[in-house]
Amino acid sequence: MSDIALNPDVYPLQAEPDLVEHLGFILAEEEALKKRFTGIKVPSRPGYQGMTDVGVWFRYPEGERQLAYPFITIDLLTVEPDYELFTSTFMQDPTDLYQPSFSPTLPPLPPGARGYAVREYLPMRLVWQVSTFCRSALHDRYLTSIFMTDVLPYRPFFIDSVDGVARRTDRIGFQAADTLETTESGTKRIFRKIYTISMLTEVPQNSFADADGYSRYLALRVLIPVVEQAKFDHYFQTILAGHVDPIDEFTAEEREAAGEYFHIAHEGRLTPPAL
Amino acid sequence: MAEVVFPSTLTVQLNAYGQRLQEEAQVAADKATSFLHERVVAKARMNPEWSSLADSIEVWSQDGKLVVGVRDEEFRSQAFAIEYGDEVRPPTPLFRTLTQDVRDASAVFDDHMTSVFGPERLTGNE
Repeated sequence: MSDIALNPDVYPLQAEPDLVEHLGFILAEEEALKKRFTGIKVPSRPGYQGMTDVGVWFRYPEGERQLAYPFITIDLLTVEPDYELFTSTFMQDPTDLYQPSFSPTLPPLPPGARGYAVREYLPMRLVWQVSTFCRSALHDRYLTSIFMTDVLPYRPFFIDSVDGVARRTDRIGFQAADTLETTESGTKRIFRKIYTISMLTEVPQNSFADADGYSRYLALRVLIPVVEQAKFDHYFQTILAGHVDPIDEFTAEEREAAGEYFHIAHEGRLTPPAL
Repeated sequence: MAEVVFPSTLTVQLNAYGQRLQEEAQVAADKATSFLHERVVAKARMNPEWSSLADSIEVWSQDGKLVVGVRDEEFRSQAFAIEYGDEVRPPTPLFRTLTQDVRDASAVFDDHMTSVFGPERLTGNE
């Protein structure tokens, strides 16, 4: 047991990885990926019934390990945010399922509150390199064939993660990279094919957006002006560009003088969270 | 039968506008290309595996597509081994992890076009 106290800036963890069950961000996805490749077999020889197991390794097997061809390796290349899918918060219906899986329950709503503003998951993409290594051309072509049709098909597909979520996965690259392996008995031809795949996942968020822990009514302040097209540029530059709140900053007469001849406005009112 | 007549000046203006659009798009594309090249080279320089090849990285146009990579035959196989790894080295991806950089380069293109032609806007007639 370490004498060093847990760092309070870090702990408790938002979603602690479970090394036994392979749960948690990245672990669950990678475990699912390994399961996808585990149990693949190739015919030992053409015309024979016997099948040869295809091993699966994370990274290339270490030098002291006996290599048994064919085998598959998995390398995690990158974990990158998918900014195009990012959103800030969403309104959680208090009667509906609370989505972040690590906390299935919601605290009771305070009086007057209409729901919870919940931080949205952070969509991320995990990118892996999956390589197949074979010593015979037949095994290589067999594996390439079933990878194209069934294991990593061209169309986006879903892999059931061990945390119970189906993860969208895309094959984003294929590269033939045949190589040689030099051993004590000489040089061997190694047939290597490389697939680059991307899996969509997310970092869960366990805190509510509001500091007080519950939602506030979202007040609206909207101005929809109707402006003649010929005057639009002038109106845009005078009234809209650089002005956060034209309703407050300009009178209706000033807006009309700039080209507006009709508008629809909605005035909202901020409501304290506790009310 | 309805007849639509365009004034000749409108045709001239349209042609001039199209010409300008084409010229500015070329300028914007050059800017985006330079941006992407600088970004990738900077990334390569910071990576010990790629640093020696950073100056060999190029961005070029091929079959209507923008390609970023190593064109020099002398370094191509070396770059391939670094990108995909081998039995000794793990893969060190550079060109397969440029999603955000390509998006940023696209934003450079958009910024230039916006600075010249103004922001996109919707009006009642569009």
